Amino acid sequence: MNSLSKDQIHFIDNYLENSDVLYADIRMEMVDHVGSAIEKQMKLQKTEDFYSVFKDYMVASKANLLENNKKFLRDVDKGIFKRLFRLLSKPRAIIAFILLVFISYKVMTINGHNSIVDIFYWFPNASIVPFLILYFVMLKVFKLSRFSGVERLVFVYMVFFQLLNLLRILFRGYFNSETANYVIISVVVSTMILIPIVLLQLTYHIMNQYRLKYKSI
Amino acid sequence: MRNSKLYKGSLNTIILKLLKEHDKMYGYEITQKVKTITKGELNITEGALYPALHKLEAEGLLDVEVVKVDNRLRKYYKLTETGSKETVNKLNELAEYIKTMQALVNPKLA
Repeated sequence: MNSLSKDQIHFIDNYLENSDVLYADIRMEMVDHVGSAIEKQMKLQKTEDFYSVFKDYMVASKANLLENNKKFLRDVDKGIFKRLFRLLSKPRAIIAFILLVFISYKVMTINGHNSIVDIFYWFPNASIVPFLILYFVMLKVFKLSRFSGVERLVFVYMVFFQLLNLLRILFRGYFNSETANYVIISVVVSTMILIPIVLLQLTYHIMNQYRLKYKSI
Repeated sequence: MRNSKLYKGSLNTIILKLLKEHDKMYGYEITQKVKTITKGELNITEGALYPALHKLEAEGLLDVEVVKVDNRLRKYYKLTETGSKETVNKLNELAEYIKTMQALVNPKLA
């Protein structure tokens, strides 16, 4: 007995996928771990019975493997949020925010606040489009697998999408009033523009990182 | 393993130390190495090892390399430059901790 065959590896991979280990990066590592453990056990027991060794291993270790999966997903989510806040607190993002506030304020003083309020209505919905394009390009053109960092971005997008919509609902009445303060409108609109742009930048970073890390696949 | 909680806080240091001594290692290899060195006393589970490895990777202390081995993909971990420096710090911290504990529980040996 040397190493497991392609079919046996495929069997482990399928088993883990059916056990809700959905993302390729974490499953790949688990498949190797389980495969190595089974190879060692088969060697020790001097047996060729892969399925019996696999069954015994899973009885003993499945809970641990799935715990690893849960922790992994929690860490991925935390990691994405951390990176997003790091990007938002960078001088470049702060300067961009100040510029956006300044530009939108100037536009309103020239054309009135209705010209800016339009952005306020369509931007959150429109911001999802570039993400979908990038996701499609990475998956189809670069043949990127279902990696956790990429797929969990959808969750982050949904959180911010809801937040931006909440802002929109909260400020809708105020924005339509004649007494609306231009500085407040500028700050809210700039926030709604900046967050999706930074999210998109993060999406590109994460996807590119996977593309480079797994280029040998 | 008799008391896993006592070892839990040192898991990162154990991983960094092993990677300092070996150019690159993969997850299962780390668990087996620890088992052999400690003569079976310390058995690192998958649920503890991989989150620790991923955290160290996210902190920039480890770099990864994915290689195709025996019909499957294997993720190797190796120390980055920052990781090598951090290993020295962590080992010094651990040595200090052991010294302090020694002074507390067995003053004659300290």
